[in-house]
Amino acid sequence: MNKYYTEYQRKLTDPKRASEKIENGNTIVHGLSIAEPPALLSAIADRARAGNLRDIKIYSLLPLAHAAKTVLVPDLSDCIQAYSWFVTAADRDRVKVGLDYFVPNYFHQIPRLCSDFMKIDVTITTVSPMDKSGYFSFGTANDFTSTAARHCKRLIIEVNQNMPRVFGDSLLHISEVDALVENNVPLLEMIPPEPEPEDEIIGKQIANLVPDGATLQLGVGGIPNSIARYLDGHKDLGVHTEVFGPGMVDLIEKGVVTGRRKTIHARKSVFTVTQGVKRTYEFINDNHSIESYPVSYVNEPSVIAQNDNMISINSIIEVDLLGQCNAEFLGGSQFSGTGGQLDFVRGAFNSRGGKSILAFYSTAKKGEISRVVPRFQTGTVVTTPRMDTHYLVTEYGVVNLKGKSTRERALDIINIAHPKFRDGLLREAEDMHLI
Amino acid sequence: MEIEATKVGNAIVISLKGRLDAVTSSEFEKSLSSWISEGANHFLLNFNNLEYISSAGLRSILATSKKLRERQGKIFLTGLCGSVEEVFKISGFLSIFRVFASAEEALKEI
Repeated sequence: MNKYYTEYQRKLTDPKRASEKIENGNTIVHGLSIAEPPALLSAIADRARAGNLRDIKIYSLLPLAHAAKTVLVPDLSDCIQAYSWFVTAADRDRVKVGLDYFVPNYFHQIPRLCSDFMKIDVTITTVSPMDKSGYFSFGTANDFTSTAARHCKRLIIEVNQNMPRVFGDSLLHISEVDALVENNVPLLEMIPPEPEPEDEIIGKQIANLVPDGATLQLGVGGIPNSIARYLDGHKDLGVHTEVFGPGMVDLIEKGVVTGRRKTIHARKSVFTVTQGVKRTYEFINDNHSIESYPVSYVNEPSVIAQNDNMISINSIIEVDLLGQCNAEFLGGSQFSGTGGQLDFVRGAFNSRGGKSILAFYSTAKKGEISRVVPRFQTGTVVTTPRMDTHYLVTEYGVVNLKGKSTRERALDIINIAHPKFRDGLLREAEDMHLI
Repeated sequence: MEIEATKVGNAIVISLKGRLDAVTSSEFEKSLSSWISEGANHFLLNFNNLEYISSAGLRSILATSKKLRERQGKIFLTGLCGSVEEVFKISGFLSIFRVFASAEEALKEI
């Protein structure tokens, strides 16, 4: 028998036994989103509930249903302290009341936080099945997960045949693994929201900013995801993105994305994390044109900038008249996180011919609230500082703030607000002595 | 924070006034622990006059309830209102504890 299969069998165990190696006071990092390992998380939660595990610290980024139903449940709050690098519905309310703690970060720096600033006892994540050479792959979650896997005392993996096998710097050898369990459940899906009527206007405006041969990053959220359908007429686009999503599958299959004119990793679509639906995972599985790398590489601004005509497209919650952008704070509390927005805002601007685009609907709550505000509410976090803001796009237009004075940018920003709010914003701008 | 404790039937009624937070939660836990060491098993926490509860307060209630569970004891809640009720709702803690509309109703059942 192949020696790797022998080692596999030796390390194979069940989730309960695997979790028994976790000790009181341990710090655990789990795989991002789709790679949350449900069987291992469940076993940890069971031990904690039985009173056999306490003072556990667990770190998540974009936690989903598996984490929400196991280690993030309210009745384990006294024995598990959860930390979040990017908040979702799974932990938003807990962060709001202080049960979970948010850790501010740039996404591209999290691997370094894992290696240099944390002492990780255990990393758990879902991986794709082992090949004949002894390699698993990190699949949908390379990001910080691969670094945490290599900077912990104990690595326990959950092997799932549904996890796509991904190339790039995404492989994990059996010799690096301490224990493994098998659990072939369907992967979680993140279904893109239904498009809004404004998406067509915004999408077409953004498409005009994207030249043929550009390299794209599309962020999370409804607007960036819906942009893809308006790029159908483009040629030889490339992908260097944080999140590889369903929209990119469509562009590749239509031949719009070829990667031929990318400056680095030509002909390859590069990403660090995948979120999507079954079709997305099937597409990237065993696909040599798709490569994942750690987020410390993919999101490093100086790497992003190496691609000429790098176009990053992300969304924000609101912008103030100074040009500061908030993409993560809502109703006085942490709604999501910085993620990779500023990584790509800076990297794309520094690219030759590059553009960073922040797109948003001009209003919220069915037109009741303007997303263009004179000033942020006290305590609101700034995701993209005003000096970094490049293009802003709403259904009312496109503005480029680079090089603009405080007066010019205030007027430009007001021009892309919903018309019913513009007079009020002008008056506020006068009161602020911006105009 | 002021803690007023009264034995009523099978239960100890603990009325809290002020803030249950990182500063006062250990005092709260000590108070319940001393009743537990005297054999008390069921507690009714009355939050009518509690102005504020933090995550530390939530955790201290949860930790105490788990100690009681080992002795088949329980914590019940009443008097939830305002921001304290909001915190219980948002945190999901309403799903962990039985809440009564009034102390009288609670004491009939305990």
